[in-house]
Amino acid sequence: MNLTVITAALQSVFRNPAYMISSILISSFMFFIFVLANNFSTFVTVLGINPSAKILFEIITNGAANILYSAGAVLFSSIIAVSILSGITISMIIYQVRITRSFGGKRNLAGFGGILGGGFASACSACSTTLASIFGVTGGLVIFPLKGLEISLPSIGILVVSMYFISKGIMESGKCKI
Amino acid sequence: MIQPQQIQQARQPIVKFQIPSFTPSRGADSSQINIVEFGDYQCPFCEKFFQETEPQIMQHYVNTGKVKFYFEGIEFVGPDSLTLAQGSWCADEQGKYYEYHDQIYSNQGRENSGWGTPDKVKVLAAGITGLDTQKFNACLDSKKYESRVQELTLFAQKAGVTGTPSSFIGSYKEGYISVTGAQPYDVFKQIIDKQMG
Repeated sequence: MNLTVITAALQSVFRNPAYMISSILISSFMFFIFVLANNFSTFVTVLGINPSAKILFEIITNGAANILYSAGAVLFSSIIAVSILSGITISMIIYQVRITRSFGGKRNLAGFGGILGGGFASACSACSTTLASIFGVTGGLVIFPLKGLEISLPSIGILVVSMYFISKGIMESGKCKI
Repeated sequence: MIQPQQIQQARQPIVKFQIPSFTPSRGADSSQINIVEFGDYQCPFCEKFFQETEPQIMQHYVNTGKVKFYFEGIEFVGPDSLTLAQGSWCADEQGKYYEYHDQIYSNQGRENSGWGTPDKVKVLAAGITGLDTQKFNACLDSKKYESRVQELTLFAQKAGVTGTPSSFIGSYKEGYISVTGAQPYDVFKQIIDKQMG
């Protein structure tokens, strides 16, 4: 993998501040979605009783704190990394589609696999009985002794590889299609 | 045990069940609202709930006589969960159910790391003031409450428990609203206040 290709593509994309802003917004949104997905039932219950922004915000911050509490700083950092890489990857795809008028095909879709993996790895606020019943009594936790890092690290890998191919696509096109 | 019944009502699924009669409670008997927590003694999120949210619920609702609190120990994290939950019923024989609950969560170790084996549980239980350790140890060795814990685990699953801690807030008459996970106190406050009308 040639890092120069990625660096050059990133410079092309983020020369425009709009892509920088979109990348930050998408990254924040992805992190919000990762935490929300794991506290969805509580979120819906509270929304039905009193849709107060303060309490909904509290559920999200508590969800993030729960990941840090239960799985530690490494998994928490890896989830933030997936969120940031997701924001960058999606912004690059938007740039590629807008500038080169081509989506880039299946290789770009791989990036979404990485994003999904990040969401699955982002733990939750409860010990899942569902995983335990699928994998056997102790299976749920034995299968993921690193508490989800087994999924988030490959997700980071997939996103980086996906970024490389998107970068290659952007740089190889070399011109704007009319 | 009467099996739980799930009813879809408006936005929240309401679960109806009767709390097993053998489960001791914290709080005044006159309270109209119950909080029933299903937890695994090995679950780190249950410990977080015990440390952060439960004290506030106790202070504002249970100790003031507004709400009754029940804890049901279930087992799914690992084999030691069964031992730890059985221990709670052995402690209950001596009226120390919640003292045991507090002692275990205050000294929780990592999941399946061996801190909840029968020998370790006996050592932890010995720290409970006023507990007859010989009687407790004999009870734990007999495994006489194994089937009770297993039945409670099935009961929890039928009530829709997909993770621990899972708390059910309400009453038998009106049904229960469930909260999954170690959620902040404000979430519980909202639901308790709603259920209290």
